[in-house]
Amino acid sequence: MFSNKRLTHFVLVFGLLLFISCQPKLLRKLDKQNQIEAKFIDGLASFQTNTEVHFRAKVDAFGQKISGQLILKNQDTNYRAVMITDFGLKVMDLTLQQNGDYQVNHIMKHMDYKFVKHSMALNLLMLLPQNFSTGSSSYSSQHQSLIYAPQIHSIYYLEADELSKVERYRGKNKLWATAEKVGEDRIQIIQKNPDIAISLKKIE
Amino acid sequence: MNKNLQYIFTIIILMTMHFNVGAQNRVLENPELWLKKINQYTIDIQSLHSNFKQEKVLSFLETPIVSEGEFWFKQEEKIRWEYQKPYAYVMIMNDGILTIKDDGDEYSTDLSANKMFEQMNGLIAGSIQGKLLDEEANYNKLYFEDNQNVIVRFIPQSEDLSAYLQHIEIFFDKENLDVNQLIMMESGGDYTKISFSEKQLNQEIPEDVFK
Repeated sequence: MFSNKRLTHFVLVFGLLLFISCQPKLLRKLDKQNQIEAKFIDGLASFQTNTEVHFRAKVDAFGQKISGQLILKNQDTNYRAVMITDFGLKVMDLTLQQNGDYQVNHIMKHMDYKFVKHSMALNLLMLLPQNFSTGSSSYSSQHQSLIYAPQIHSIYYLEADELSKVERYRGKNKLWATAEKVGEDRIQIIQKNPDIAISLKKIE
Repeated sequence: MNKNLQYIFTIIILMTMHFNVGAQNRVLENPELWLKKINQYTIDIQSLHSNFKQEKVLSFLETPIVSEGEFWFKQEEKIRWEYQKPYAYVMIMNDGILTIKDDGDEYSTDLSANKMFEQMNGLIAGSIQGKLLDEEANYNKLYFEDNQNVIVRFIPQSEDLSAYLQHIEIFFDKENLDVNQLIMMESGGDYTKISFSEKQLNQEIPEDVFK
């Protein structure tokens, strides 16, 4: 039988091993700075003081191109993400939580597949502000600092405390999607397998 | 007692709703007469050029999303939507092909591959030309009026289109019989309203506009 002290030790080591084996390999090469208590980062969508942001959106997925507007709204406890076509028809309407949970309020009939809904929700989540809490860790590389949020399997890249890129992983070494700032008001999201490219330009 | 009160309140709310809708849109009397007038007028329309304002009303937003631009139509079923605000974007439907011009990109797709666009194209061209009013196969129709317009509500019968739209309303001006407005109602109550202004009828429009 384990004594209490040995049991605690075993749980801690096992937990650490589990954490290390689940996190992307990339992070193991970097210097771990510290465990994050609480940190807020305004997402790539850059809400700043606004509750709503609008983007010109182009989605290239599964051989189809859709263009229109993407509206993101902060609803205090969650975020609403709605895309409409240029013609005004609603393509999808999602409610997103910062922890990766989501609810599909509406999706166009021809896109109504589980993997499409899941991919779109996780891709749009990469744009949103994040409140990093216990469980997240920060790392440093040459010019950047990184924050790993295990709950959503994502790494947030910061340059001079400004968010420049978000990577989402599947498993420990598979980069699944990248959301990156390209210029002042543009964001590019690229997802692999299934391939989805989302190009966004902020509408002022 | 509580249940009775609830019942009475529900009845009152439903009655209020009915009167509100009724105050704006009344059931059109003599629809056949109006349809005949509209058909006679629209049969001579060869081309139309106008400005348009598109308002997208989403229940979770306080203000509608507004886009503006120019609209061109020419016989047979050639349409150009040129969005100018808040961003430039062109959508051309010509000879069964949908062409999108967008920020330097240009791509075309066969309209028949996109049932929704194909039906929307037919609906818009058909309503300008009045052909749609004779359409029986794809839509059920209801007729209303307000003080300025005759309103025809098209309820799609096909599963394809009804998955996107609950109904479409086209507003014909009672005075000059032009199409004033188009409302595309989605299930859930969100809708798109397109209003046409500064209409120019039967003026020469170069073919290049639709390329």
